[in-house]
Amino acid sequence: MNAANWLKRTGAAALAAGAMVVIVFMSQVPWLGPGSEGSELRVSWRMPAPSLRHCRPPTEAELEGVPGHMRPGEICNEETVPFGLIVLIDGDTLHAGPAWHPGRRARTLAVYERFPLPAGSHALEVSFVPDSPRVDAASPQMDSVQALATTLSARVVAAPGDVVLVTRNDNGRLVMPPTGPGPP
Amino acid sequence: MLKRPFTRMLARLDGWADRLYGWKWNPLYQSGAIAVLCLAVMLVTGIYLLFFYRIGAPHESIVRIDAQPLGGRWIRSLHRYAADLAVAAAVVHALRMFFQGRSWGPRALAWVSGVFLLFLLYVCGWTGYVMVWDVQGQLLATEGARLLDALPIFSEPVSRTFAGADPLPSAFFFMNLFLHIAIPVGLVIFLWLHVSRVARPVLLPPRPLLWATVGLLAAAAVLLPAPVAQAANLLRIPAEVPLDLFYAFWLPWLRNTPAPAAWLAGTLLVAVLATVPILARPRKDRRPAPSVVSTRLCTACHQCEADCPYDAIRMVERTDGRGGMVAWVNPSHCVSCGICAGSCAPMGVGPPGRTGRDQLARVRDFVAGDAFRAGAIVVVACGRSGGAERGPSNARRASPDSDRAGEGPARFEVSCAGNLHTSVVEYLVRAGARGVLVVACPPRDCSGREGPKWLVERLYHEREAELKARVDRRRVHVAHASAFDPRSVDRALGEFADELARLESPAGEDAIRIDTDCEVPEGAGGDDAGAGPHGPPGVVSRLLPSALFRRWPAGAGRTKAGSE
Ligand code: HEM
Ligand code: SF4
Ligand code: SF4
Repeated sequence: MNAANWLKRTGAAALAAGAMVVIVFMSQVPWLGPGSEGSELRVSWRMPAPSLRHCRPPTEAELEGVPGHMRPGEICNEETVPFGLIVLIDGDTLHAGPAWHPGRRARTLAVYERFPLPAGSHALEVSFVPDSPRVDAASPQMDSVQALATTLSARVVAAPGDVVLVTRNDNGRLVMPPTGPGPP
Repeated sequence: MLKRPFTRMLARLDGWADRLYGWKWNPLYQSGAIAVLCLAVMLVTGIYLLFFYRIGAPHESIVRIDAQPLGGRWIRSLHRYAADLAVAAAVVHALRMFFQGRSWGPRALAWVSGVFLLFLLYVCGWTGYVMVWDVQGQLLATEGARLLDALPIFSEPVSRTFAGADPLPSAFFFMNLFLHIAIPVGLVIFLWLHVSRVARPVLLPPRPLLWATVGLLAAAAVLLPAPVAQAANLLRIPAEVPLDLFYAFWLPWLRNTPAPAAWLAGTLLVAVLATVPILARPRKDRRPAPSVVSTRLCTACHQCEADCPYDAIRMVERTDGRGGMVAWVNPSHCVSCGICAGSCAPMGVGPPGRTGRDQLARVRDFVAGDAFRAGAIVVVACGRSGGAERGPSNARRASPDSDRAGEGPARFEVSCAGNLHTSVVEYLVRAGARGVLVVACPPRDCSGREGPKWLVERLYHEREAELKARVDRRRVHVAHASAFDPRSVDRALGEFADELARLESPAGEDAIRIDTDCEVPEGAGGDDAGAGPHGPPGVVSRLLPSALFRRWPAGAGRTKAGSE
């Protein structure tokens, strides 16, 4: 092999090795992810959807043609009660809107919201309340629905990368479980 | 509008890589095959990793694999780097196909299935990183869930799974693992679809390149193993994330982009990619017409059917009362590469204007014209190769004297080296050309896929329609040069002129051993496998596989090999 060929082969090998090193580097580029900037307030839980049941006697027209043993004593329908979520941080309203519910007939209500939270100490207030304008306040079952309403007021200290989690415990109260290090 | 500069840039890159690696081992020409190779490496290493992966403790199991004394870390890194190289190779391959105009018409199926292949490769990569359940996997999962929640299809927010309020269900890791294993099955199916329209798809690179690629990946895995990143913690927002740019380049952008905007951008990108076969299609009047068979001339020899790189030709019953079979071109499969024209001895098939007969008519005019000089070398060039008259490399070189042979060769162009009918070569030699140098693209870069391969077989290997025995093959050489590689053409011309000078010298007959078999000594052909002409005998013959010469005793009467 002459010198020129040797040089060419070395160049070819070096280029291939260089390309591989670039691939290795691109495979693990250090990136200062979102956790370096601030923290996050996360509100999340799942519960049976609060609902109101409306019943009435069937009309003549509804009973027509139905055999006697199959005639219902009353006709009921169930309506999901919309709930709202209100989040205040240091007195400022961060969110006031309906909690996620998929539709009037769904059996579960899942709440999931995330809010950026500047690092530091904050007064936090999270309320979960029936969405009053849309609720039949006169219903006798309204008391049990109202009982689901709950509010959490707390002072939190958040460092960059922290997640402040607000969830609902088995007793129906809003709580902040400790979010210490270690995988959940 | 941007296509031309990019095409020139890619062709220039090809030229450089050709000079460094030689056209046989230029990895740019093998990008599709390298992507397949990477998939194979991922499959083998993936099966090994699967034995040690635990759904119940994903990150811990990865840490344990990493600590294995028997190289678990290397195998994991090999799996990962092969996945990265697969994306890089697939993107290079797709760009090449686009800029070579191989994205529309009968190739639309390959293009669209290619887009799906790339998409599946991405999803497979994302599920792979989620399997590791490190900080990058966490971000991929949470951002993916955020995107899904923007679609009105779920009864509950998917993101709630990653809220951190409850432990992650192992069903999630099971589903993810299932996807990571099932997607490669989809990849294989799409790969089959991808190459279903091409005959004899080349699925792996040539062996030296194959082992060099595997060796490089293995060396990187051993010398620069991929570290295991910090475990995911849903109650911490990841701060320092080692980002795999091949799979997660979009994460930094997505973090600050509302989900609907991200969906819009993604949908637009996929829509543009999927409609390239329509967007990149030339105007109707500029589209090359598919091949046509002259039923009068066809002798039903099956050769065009065997040679067509796109399986576009079938033999069918004759309907003209003559009985027997006749070739039939399926116009929706024909890419108009013209290779069948070179296969047909009676010149009965080819795209309009490029059949053997059309070429003969053109070469007659060429010989009668001013450019042709008896006693000089003629260059017959593929219009896309470095030998093309109007090609980028020669258009800039005003003086024909810049050719080393000093002869300023006349150039006769064909649309593809495989389109060239051997009778054109014979016509030129008989008209008094000192020699004919056919300049073809590097074989793996042929836009018709198999042009240079069939050309060499027809010239030297008695493939139908072969160069007739009466033509002195010592006056016919083949060189391979990509569009921006005029130096290879110069060098080939120089070497060819030297060969011819030796042949024409009184001692020439002895010097080139015309009365012996042109056997190539074992081990020859390694050093300058890059550029240069080939064709027996002499220096250039070292570039061809010896099998090509063994059955060719110069001057001896030859039997036809017939169709394959
Ligand atoms: C994992 C990804 C991919 C693999 C493994 C792959 C592999 C291949 C292989 C082996 C061939 C046959 C080459 C030959 O024998 O000539 C091929 C052809 C082709 N590929 Fe891909 N490919 C991939 C992705 C893509 C993408 C993303 C595109 C474009 C969007 C694409 C477009 C094409 C086209 C148009 C052809 C046909 C070329 C022709 O007919 O001339 N491929 N691919
Ligand atoms: S190569 Fe020519 S003769 Fe042979 S089958 Fe094809 S068209 Fe007919
Ligand atoms: S032009 Fe090419 S694709 Fe069309 S039939 Fe001939 S060989 Fe096949």
